[in-house]
Amino acid sequence: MKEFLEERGSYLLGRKINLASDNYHSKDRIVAIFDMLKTRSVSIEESVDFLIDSIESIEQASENVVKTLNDKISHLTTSIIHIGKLKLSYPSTATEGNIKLVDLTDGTYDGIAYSSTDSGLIMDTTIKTKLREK
Amino acid sequence: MARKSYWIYSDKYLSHNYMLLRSIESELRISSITTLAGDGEETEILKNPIDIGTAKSLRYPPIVSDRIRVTIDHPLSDVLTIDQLVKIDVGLDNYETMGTYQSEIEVANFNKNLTVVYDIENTLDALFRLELHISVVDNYENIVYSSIIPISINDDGWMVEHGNSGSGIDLPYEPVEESMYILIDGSSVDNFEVEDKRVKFSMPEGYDCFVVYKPKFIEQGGLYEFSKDVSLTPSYGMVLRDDYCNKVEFSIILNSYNPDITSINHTPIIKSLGIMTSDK
Repeated sequence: MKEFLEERGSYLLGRKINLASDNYHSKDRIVAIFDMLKTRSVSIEESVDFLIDSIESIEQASENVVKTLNDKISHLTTSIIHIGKLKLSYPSTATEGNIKLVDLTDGTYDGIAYSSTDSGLIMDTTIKTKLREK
Repeated sequence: MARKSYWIYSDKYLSHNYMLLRSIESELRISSITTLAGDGEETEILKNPIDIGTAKSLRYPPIVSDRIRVTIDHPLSDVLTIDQLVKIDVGLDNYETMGTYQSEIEVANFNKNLTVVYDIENTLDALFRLELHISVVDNYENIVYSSIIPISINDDGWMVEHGNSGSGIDLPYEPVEESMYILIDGSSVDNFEVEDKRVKFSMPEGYDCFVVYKPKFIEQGGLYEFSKDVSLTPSYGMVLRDDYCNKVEFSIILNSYNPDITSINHTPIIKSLGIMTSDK
């Protein structure tokens, strides 16, 4: 205890130095923050200036986008109405496709046969043997 | 529906890889076909049941056997013999050199542009002659006009015509003379004359003669007026006259020529045939 009391002065001094050092560091930090704000402000100012300069083209681009969207919507609406009319006037058009294949399993064959194995028409064989019950 | 299995025989052991089933009774269904090979092992030929319709053929790896077991589903299989239900022939690869297929009539929506669509595999040297028969009808099912249009489905638009007697063959289109080949029984002939759409040459009686040529219009470009109702593009697309037309009734006649006598084991496989209509 005695030792502590004797050394108390130096302890207090040391603590003050530490506090001063903290203050010093804090000040540095604040200065750094202000510097940073200054730089950022300049960047923001430049960006705002750029936006102000470009406002006309931005406005033009927005108008173009809106116009294109309107055109597309109008085209879709017309198409939908047209398809609806087609369905009413030509019901078959709406239900049948444009490709129509013939049924190869059906028809008349001469020297050709429908092969189930090949799923298509093949040539008939020249020599055939008839199998019968005995 | 009664199911019955039948054993059918030939007089001797045969090597076969092709079976043609032709129905005598309608609505015939075959659920299984097996064969007893020479080594006594029963081999499955038909794996999935099939409806025979008019006729069906099957191809399978060559088998040597003298007997086949067929299982048939038919209401009358208990009372009829197999000979009264179906004709069964077997054969070994040695295909016909000529064949004809005529489709049933189909109906498609009318659009002024028409194209024949097809899918053919294993073509090799085979040539095809396709005729498209069309009748265009209006809303009241009246025929507005009809036409028979020969179309090429060979490579590069080559056309082929066949004859086996007479002094010449009439072609549907004016040919490019330099492109013309005349084959008599597989041999090329140089002695011929072309007069408009007729090729004059002497055809020996009973020999198959083929005229293979390119029509002039496919090299000239533009639309070729086939008739007052039909025009053709150089790629055999058809442009039809629109006259209050509603539907197109069509059927396809296909002649297949497989004249390469060196490849006796060859057959083209025609997987699909049809038409595509479009308004653009």
